[in-house]
Amino acid sequence: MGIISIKSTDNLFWLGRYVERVFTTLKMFTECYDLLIDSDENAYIDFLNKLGIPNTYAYKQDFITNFLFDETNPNSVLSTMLSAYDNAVVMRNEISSETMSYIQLAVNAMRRGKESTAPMLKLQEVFDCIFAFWGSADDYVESETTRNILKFGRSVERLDLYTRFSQPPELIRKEFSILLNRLYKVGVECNIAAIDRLMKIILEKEDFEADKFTIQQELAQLFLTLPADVYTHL
Amino acid sequence: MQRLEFSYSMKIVFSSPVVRHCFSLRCLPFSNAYQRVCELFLEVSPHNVLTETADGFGNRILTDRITQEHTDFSVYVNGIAEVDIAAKERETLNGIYKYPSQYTHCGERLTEVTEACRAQCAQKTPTEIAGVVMSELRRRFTYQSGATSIQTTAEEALAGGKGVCQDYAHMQIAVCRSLGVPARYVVGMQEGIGETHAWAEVYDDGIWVGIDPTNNKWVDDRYLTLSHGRDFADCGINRGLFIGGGTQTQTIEATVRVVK
Amino acid sequence: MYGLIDHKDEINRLLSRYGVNFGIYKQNEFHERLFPFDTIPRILTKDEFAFLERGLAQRVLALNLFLNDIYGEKKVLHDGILPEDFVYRSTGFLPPCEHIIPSKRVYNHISGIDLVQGKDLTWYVLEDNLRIPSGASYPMIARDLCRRASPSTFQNNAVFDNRCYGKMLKKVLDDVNLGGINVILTPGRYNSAFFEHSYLAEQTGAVFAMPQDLFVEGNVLYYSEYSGTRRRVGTVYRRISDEYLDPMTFLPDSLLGVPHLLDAYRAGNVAVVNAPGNGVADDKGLYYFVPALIRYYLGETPILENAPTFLPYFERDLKYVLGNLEKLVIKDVSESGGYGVLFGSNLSANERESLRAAIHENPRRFIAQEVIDFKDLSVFEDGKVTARKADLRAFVLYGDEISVWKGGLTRFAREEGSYVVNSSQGGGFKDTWVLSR
Repeated sequence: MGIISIKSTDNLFWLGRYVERVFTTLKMFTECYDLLIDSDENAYIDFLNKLGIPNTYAYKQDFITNFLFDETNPNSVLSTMLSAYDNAVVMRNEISSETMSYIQLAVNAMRRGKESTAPMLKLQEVFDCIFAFWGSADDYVESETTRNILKFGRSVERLDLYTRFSQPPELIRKEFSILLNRLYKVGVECNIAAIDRLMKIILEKEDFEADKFTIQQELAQLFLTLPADVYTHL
Repeated sequence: MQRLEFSYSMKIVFSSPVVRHCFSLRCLPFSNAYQRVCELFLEVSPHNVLTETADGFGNRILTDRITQEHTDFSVYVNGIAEVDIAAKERETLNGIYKYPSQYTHCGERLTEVTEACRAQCAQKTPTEIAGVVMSELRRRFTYQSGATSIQTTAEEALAGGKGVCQDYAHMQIAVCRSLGVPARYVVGMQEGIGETHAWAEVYDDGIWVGIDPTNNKWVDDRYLTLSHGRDFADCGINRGLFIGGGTQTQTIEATVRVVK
Repeated sequence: MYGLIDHKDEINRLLSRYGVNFGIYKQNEFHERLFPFDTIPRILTKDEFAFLERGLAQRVLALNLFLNDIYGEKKVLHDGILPEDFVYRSTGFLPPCEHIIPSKRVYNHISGIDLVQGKDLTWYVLEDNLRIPSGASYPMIARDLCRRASPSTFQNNAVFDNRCYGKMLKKVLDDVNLGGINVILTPGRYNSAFFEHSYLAEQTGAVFAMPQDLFVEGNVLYYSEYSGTRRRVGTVYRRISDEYLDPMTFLPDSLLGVPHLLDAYRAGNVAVVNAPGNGVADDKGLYYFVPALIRYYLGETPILENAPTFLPYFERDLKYVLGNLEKLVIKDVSESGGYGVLFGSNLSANERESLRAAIHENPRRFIAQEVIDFKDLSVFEDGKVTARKADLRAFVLYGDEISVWKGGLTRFAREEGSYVVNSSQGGGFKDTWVLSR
């Protein structure tokens, strides 16, 4: 189609971000879960710190269940998945019913995980759905702009989480160059000054442990989101 | 026949800027068999691509959408019109004017007025009936500004016993309609009062006859018509929608003067 | 066919995967509900459908002529065919739409006509939906899944493919287009039929718009693109009801509408699908007169029958209705979606008395119908085939010509013996097969 409104670009961007947030958070969560099994009872506190989420959990098991599945907590993985759904459901015609269906399936899998006695096994389905979502997006999303905005959202989220979890600098640099690449393709307005500042840090410094917070802040203002409109009548 | 020089000016000042301001103005007198606009000057500020169009009742509307930020909005219309109500022509009736509308539903009080009138209306023409209604209303209602608002219906106004031209017109219409006389609401200007005015018209043998219950008189050549409809809701002089704005202060001035 | 029954649960799972649901509000909270699907189709033979097709096209043609007349010359009133009360007191009659001539003079581009079949196999029209009838998307997507589940069923039966609805709809949008893109306007994702809005946008290739994406300037409707350019809109298939459509003319505090849309429509710069003001023609009170309208406008005998209806507005009918409440179903003309429907036989003596008083007080507000003994349809429930009441919503599209969709939405009551098939009240749906030989 290629005819797309400001609101739609916003939805696509956030769809990409939320899907990626579920994906990478779950990956990191799996590592944390592993630590929790035999060594460090409090590994989850460090995990939450990195994500900047307040520790509202009483103990290990409370964290495991509720960080994943508490729908009333906006920071839970299920809530994030539902946010992805909220952004996808208004974009069916752009991303196709087929691509949309993988988001629905991921939500269903999360919901079943909540009821399951072995939730970690169910999470595999969530990974499967997300991979399928991206595959379907490549195949069924006709508009290149649409695909690019989705993936631009994914890159932004990935960079944010990779820096939070102190991933190797070369990995972060690689993701950043993917993001720059997209940027030229997307053809949508974004904050050029913020890009410049990010380039100064990520491309010029050895490592960026010290600049984590700055990076996160710059990423947050890369893409301009919409103010809410409220009409008054005479 | 009278030659009238008229002017209408309206200004709104917003305490904070507005954007995406859409508006519809019904402030241009129309030309027809008995009212002819000879000269017209119009200024709307700010404006974008001011469009003139019509509504379902045959009124002239000016519409626009201003995207740029602004804190002032003003409209100025002035011109000369010739009015000769003796030249009114027969029109076919739109049945909608026989039925109650948003502002003119009859409750207990209006029904009581209707019944009081009905007793005096046997064998009378629609125009005569309208006259009976006008005098019945005058016995029960006094003019006082501020007693009602633009949301007040005819029934509510009558319950309060006080109000302005809008209320008089609504009550007149409500009672006439329930007596079987088709009636409609008219917004316009009248010689000398300094603001816009509202009155009613009743349908009598093909002719819409103007009646001004606020002033207890029949409409003559010194009234200039801007719009008509079922009631106030169809005749808003300025209907608008915008984002932002804070508080608004609105000033309106309307003058009509007989010229040679 | 057994292939379909065997795979009922899987097909329903697939429907959930594609988000085939509708929204309902319960205690002010929005919930998405799956629309239960029964895989046993309603089957219409070629001849049966041909009969319905003729009857539906006739009805839709007459209703469109009525709408042209009522917002124009109003001959039908002058000729005394219809008491004017049924126009001027109808909330669906919109005086701001007077004298507008829509593109190609079409008002009811998409009509959803609800029919039932009696035990004696007679078809009756129960209701005309000429505003924003919904439901076509459900059997379309269900068919797609059924074909996957049991290809042999479709190899062995000559069933018209109902998935052409998207193409038919696109053709209507193109036919009436006044220059520019086609847009489907949704009030937003919390609308009960949001799935359908987004699915139809996908199927027709129309641009899917929320109210804030559209604006009017100089009596022209535009869609604003991200890049800052504006696209002229030639047809807007709006899924927003009339009263919310344009806050400059209708409800002033509507945030769902597009300011000045009605001006652009009046100026002849955009086709609005369906036209605003159609409510006057699908009012439950007006329904009584449709056979008369067919005779009046077309000079033909109505092919399809109305359910036997009484209008308390007429003295003679009022007497009968008040005396025979327990035999009748009473409908409040101002309600829809299965609300305001009362079966006289289900009421207590007190309730019947207060209904009698209400009808006496305001006869124009009600219609009364004889209870039609519907032909039951088979439904597969809890491992066995059982019988349920069902209706059929047929879709008639009107652009350059009138065409009846070879399919339809069959809705059935979930409870045994119940006549309430509305999805908002828990009803399910079936596919409707039209046989091609």
